[in-house]
Amino acid sequence: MPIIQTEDLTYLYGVGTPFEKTALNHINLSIEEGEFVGVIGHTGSGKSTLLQHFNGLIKPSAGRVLIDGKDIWEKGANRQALRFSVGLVFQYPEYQIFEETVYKDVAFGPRNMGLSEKEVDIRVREAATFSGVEDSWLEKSPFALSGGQKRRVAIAGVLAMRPKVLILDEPAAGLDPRGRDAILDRICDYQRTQGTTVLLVSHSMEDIARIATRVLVMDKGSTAFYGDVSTVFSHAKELLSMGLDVPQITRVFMRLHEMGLPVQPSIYTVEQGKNEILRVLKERET
Amino acid sequence: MENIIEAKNVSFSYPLDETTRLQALKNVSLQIPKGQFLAILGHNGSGKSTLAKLFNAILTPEQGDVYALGINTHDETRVYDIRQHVGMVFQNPDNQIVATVVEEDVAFGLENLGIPTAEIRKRIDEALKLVGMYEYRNEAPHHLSGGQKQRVAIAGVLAMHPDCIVLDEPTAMLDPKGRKEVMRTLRELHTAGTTVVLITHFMEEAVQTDRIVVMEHGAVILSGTPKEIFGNIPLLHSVGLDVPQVTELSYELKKCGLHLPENILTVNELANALADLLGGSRCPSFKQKI
Repeated sequence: MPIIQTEDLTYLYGVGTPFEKTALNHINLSIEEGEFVGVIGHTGSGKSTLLQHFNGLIKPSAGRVLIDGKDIWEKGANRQALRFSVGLVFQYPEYQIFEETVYKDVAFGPRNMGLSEKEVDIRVREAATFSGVEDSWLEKSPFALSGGQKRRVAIAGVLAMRPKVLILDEPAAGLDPRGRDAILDRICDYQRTQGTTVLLVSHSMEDIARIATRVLVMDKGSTAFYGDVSTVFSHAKELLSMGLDVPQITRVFMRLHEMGLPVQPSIYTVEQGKNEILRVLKERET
Repeated sequence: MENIIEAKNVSFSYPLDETTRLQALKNVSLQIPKGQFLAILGHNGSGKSTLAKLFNAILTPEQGDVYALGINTHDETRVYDIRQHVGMVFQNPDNQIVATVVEEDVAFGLENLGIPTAEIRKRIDEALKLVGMYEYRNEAPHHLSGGQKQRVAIAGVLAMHPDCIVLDEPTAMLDPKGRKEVMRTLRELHTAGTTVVLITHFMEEAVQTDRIVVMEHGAVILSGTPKEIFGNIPLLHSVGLDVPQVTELSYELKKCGLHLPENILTVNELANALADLLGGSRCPSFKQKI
């Protein structure tokens, strides 16, 4: 059974005003448990609106959202519990930190879940370890930390609820390459060891190519593609026409393919590119 | 060539607490010739933003001197002259826009200078046309995209007729489209003769400049053309900087013993080099920018 499913999910902004706009248009999507989904799309393509439906922050104008097979808007559905099991990390989450100490901020979610202080403590320390929050920071004010450190604290605050689905909206935006790799590596490790389903929004196709197992492409309020990474990047031309990027390497191999050379066009990492060139050369020799 | 900015042995530190200080810059010397498009790369904490703030006297060095258009930034009586000639744009467009209408925002600096109204009108129109935002002059800034807002911020600086514009990660918070819009604007300014200093983490932006300076631990560790800088991949890896995928792949293939030209930086260059290698025909007519 898919962990996330939508049936004809439609959402309109500003109904009844001159600014009415269809943000989501009949989305039918089903995401299996344990997938690492890279979400891409233009600004305004509907990706944030879609993600906010998954933990009930937005109510569909029409259609259904099912988490773990249950319609989250049916009568008697427990949406508070839903928000614990589908954790959402917004863009620039470091601006949402508010507590006096790092510990209290990370503990905010698990305390709201009504867990015992002992369990809260376990959760806080576990989440801190996963997201790279050092023990020595826990009693500090979060405002004494750097931007990158605060972002880890914010992510820990969501992980502490042990969500079954973790949604992150551009978790690496604005970080330098080292900070970006550190955050993405930690999310990958977490996903691998915990088997969590992860949805991660990024504008960097190189990052998506490196970490995701599947890619969801949003365009003008619809799902343009949903499939494994190589399938989606094999539609490079369509992606480019939607104003999206494809990895640099994909553009090189598309070009070689157009020139009539016997290469696969759907190459998206440096490693694959190297192997593909070596393969073609080897075949030529024989 | 005349230097628009010159830093001579500058050092700077920030107080961490009452007794210790963080040394942000250590004896840095740098010359920026008039008309150059310079990229400054380096990690957070490498000192690049501190250095940029020395260029127009937001900060003054603890040791050494910075000259902007030949004026020493230590000379407090000349600070406003310096700021007029060396403009700055910061990362977050929302923190830089002060007015509720685009053209009023662009006028803000000019009004503070007491420039006649007719001249203000002329300069606003010129600046907004330069960044491609003239059609939006009567819009409210909050209706604009990030890339558009950042171009309005750039127009506000351009209206002052600066000789040099310094941008501290202007594209960090933008989507790919906004990033391209800002880069196109900067390339046009450079072509028109403005000196542009761009601090960035994006290598695909750095390869479009004349010269790259790499900073690490408060010092300049590398300086050269993009071809020279990206020729040294092991060093870039060791300081933890990104290398464009195409450069990385040509480096890997060369390690396998293949013959490829030095210093490949763009999709075009690599595609053509590989086509030569595999015996295909080149298509030089294809002029897509990377």
